[in-house]
Amino acid sequence: MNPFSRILAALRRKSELQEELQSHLNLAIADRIAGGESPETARREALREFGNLPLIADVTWEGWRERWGWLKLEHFAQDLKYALRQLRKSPGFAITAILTLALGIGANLAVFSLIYAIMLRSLPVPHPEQIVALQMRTDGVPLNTEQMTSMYNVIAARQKPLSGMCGLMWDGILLTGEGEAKQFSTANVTGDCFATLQLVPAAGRLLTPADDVEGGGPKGFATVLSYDYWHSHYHGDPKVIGSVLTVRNVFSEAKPLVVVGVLPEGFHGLIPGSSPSFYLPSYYEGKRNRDANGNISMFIFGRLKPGVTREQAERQLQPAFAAWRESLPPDARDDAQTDIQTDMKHHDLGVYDARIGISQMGAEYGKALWFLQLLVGLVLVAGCDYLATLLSARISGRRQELALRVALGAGRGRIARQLLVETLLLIAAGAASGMLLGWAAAHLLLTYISKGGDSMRLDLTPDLAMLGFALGIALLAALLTGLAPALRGSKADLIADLKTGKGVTGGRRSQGRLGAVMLPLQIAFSVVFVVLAGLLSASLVRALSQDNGFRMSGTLFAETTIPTARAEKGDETQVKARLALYRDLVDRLDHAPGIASASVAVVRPLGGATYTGAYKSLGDKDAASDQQIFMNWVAPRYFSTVGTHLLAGRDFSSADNQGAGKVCILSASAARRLFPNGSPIGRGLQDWYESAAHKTGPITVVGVVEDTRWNDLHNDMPRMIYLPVEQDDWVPSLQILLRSNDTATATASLRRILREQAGAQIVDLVTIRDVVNQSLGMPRLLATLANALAGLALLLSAVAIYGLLSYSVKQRTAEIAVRMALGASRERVVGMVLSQAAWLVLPGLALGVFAAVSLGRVFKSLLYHTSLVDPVVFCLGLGVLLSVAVAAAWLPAQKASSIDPMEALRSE
Amino acid sequence: MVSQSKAEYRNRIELLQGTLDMLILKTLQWGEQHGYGISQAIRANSGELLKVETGSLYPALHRLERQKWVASEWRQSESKQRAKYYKITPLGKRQLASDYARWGQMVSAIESIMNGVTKGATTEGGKA
Repeated sequence: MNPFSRILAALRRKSELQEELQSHLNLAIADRIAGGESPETARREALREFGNLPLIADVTWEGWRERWGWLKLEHFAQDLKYALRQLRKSPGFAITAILTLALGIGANLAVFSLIYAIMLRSLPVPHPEQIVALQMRTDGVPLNTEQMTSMYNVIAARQKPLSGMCGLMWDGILLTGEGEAKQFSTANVTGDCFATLQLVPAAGRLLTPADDVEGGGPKGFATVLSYDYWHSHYHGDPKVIGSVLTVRNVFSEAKPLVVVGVLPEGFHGLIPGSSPSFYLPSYYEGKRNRDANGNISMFIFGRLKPGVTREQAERQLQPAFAAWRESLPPDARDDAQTDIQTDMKHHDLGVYDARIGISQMGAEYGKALWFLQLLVGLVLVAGCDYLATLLSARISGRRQELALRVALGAGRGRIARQLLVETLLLIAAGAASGMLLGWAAAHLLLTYISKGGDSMRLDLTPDLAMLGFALGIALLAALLTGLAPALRGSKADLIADLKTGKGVTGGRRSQGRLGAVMLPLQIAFSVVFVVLAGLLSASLVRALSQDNGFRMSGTLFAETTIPTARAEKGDETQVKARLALYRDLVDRLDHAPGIASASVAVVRPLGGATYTGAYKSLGDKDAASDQQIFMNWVAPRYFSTVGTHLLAGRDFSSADNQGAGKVCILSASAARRLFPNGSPIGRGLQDWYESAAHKTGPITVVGVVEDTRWNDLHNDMPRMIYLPVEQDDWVPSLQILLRSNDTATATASLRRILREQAGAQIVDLVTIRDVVNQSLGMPRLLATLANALAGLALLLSAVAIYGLLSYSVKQRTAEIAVRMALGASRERVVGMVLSQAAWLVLPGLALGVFAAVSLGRVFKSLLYHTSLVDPVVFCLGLGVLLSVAVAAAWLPAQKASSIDPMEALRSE
Repeated sequence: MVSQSKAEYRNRIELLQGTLDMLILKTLQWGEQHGYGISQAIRANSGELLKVETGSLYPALHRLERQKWVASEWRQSESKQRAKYYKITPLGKRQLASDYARWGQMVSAIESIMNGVTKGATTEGGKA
């Protein structure tokens, strides 16, 4: 018999027993009446003879209970019923408690689920601990997560310690289907990749080395779909295998794709946070891209052979790495990371654990997230601490009831157990709602830090580790909250508590002692949160208001389906035609409704794309060079459209075209670097990589613009060089930039003109505001959270102060009454209460300030140009706290001063 | 009054647990019966000497049921009152027989003590 039916049978039997005894009684009464007694007499006599029905039922039931061992369960059920009744009697308390727990537990779960998804979850492949990442490094520090693509082939040929390797590059394709074109991010992987990962396809087959050759297959390049995309787009139809997709690639000619299979469910990619819908062979972009020496864009993974350690693999792969390094032609030997050209002889190969893949999100957000976890952990502790105080106070209030129960024979253990059940019930409810809350909050958090795009997603599905964490958190909460009050509640001082409902000195002292410890801690927490909120908010305000070198609103950026044009073997007709197209486009846009000015560029601020180059200045006296200068190719009026100010010289004009002399515009810091003495206007530059084969000639500087931020808002503004779009032999799909205050009209105009002029569509449209917000995702999130937490902490502190003081006033009613009777004024009494409050609050404040300053070191890197000990923030924060404390203490103080001494003394 | 209650008290014999079981089983051997009926039967058949307290009867009945010496069934009594009727099972009959045998032994043993004589005690020097 399964347990459920056993319980049912037990319940049935119990109710039957009642019925049986009742029927015995009825039969006895009936007999007596038949024997001549009156109904009342019969009843009375029968009852007397029968005895105590509930008692007999209980004794009889004991037999059954002992047999099945239900005793403990019955007690538990009783405790549960009792606990529910108690909680129903004070709904306010129950709601507060459950809410506090739900918020604390939920917040912890939300943050941890993010941390887990970004930094801890192993790849869904067999033996993830064997997966490693190969990264070039100097002095033990990896230079970059991405490696030069040419490194892959050389190492793959000599990878003895690895059972397989996998290279991955990000790419994009444009699929033109019905109506709108859609851009997809793809992962281009080397042929051996899926075999190395030991993945099993959900349908069809996965990519093999035979697919990863230049030119692909007869029908096109093989591709595999992600499981989610297969379901969302093709509804899991296996017939999609074998179908051919037409691609309009942005950077090169279109090559069709043949769907050969689908990846297994649950596999999203090797980079946490990314979930590309398409996996292509790495040779899709051609040999030039795949085997280039300057192309630093490949994540290189490997799988260790069983039994091989990372250190062994590292040692065994060094010769292969050295061989590759030696094979590099001289002009590729630059270090793309630092200013000064360092010798690659100092580089070696590092083999790193990659069981979670390579988490760029982890590198970027890891610190902030762990810090956040610490914060919400503190919130939970503060919340439990607060709840413990509440529970203690509540139990103190029930002393009379508890004392009675002890007097009636309830064991101390029983009472403690019952109180524990009550607490556990609260915690269970709080934890359950907390888990739901946490799950929802995790998804909300994700929207803050996700940079959008089709391939951005985190796998937040709970698995064993996360559930374990959830249970652990709930248990911790239970311990923090429930243990202390339950232990205290069973120590009831019987006689004293039975006599007075309030409990005597013993009660006040122990309650005060508990409160004296808890409250300052709570205040300290509040201080930390308030200071944190202030600093993060200030930091955010500064980030938004700082001069970034471009306009912060009223600019639109659009990507289009206009493909790349390239000069093939000296034939420049395609390039010329494309340039003419863009010229006309910009012209029409300039005069279109809703648009104040228009321009085009290869890349845009906060666009995530960076081109770097190296130049040296020409001139006999002070030749300088810059090895790491950011590049952009722009059209005339780019700067006025984007809002970057011209500091000297002039903007590009239509005269700066193919036939004219090469010109450029420098950013202020680049100008200072390349021409430290005097104005750069009119001076010449030369491409560092200028050689006989690759001749560009001198470039004249015609203008200087202010520095702007490029990839993000908190790093320094990079040195930049701008070149005219017209003066290159390569026209990729350009960004269209529009200055407009009316997004809707501008978008409509753009769409129309694109269609009419170029037969093209908009692929992606964003405003500078969108882009800034995305870039500030994490700071915004942290500031918002910190403010919310500060508000919560303040609320909790206020309630705690109020609660504690009210209780204290109640306890000291007699004392206050005596004082007042002896002549103390109302103000004196108020002062007394407030000073008691001060004794609790001030130490907390001091502790809090100390904690805030020490913790500050941890999150210094999250602040934009804001000092840790910003005096304004600290003063404001402390001011807020003090006013809250005073406000909370006011009411009890008033109550104390309004005590009527006669009344109070009489009731004692 | 006092003497009457004293007499009543003397007759309310505290029965050993096993003995009560035996009496109940015997009563049921004469036919199915509910709890009230069993207590009335024992009272009647003992000539009003043995009054079984419900506080002892029901634990005993349920114990017997747990040990499968009796089986129960809900039925309507003659007075249309729903009651739980018990009946003795074959296992119960065997138990009754062994209980009765043991009861007999107990009675003889007590008897012997009360009469102060044991079988081999009178002969001097016996089998020493």
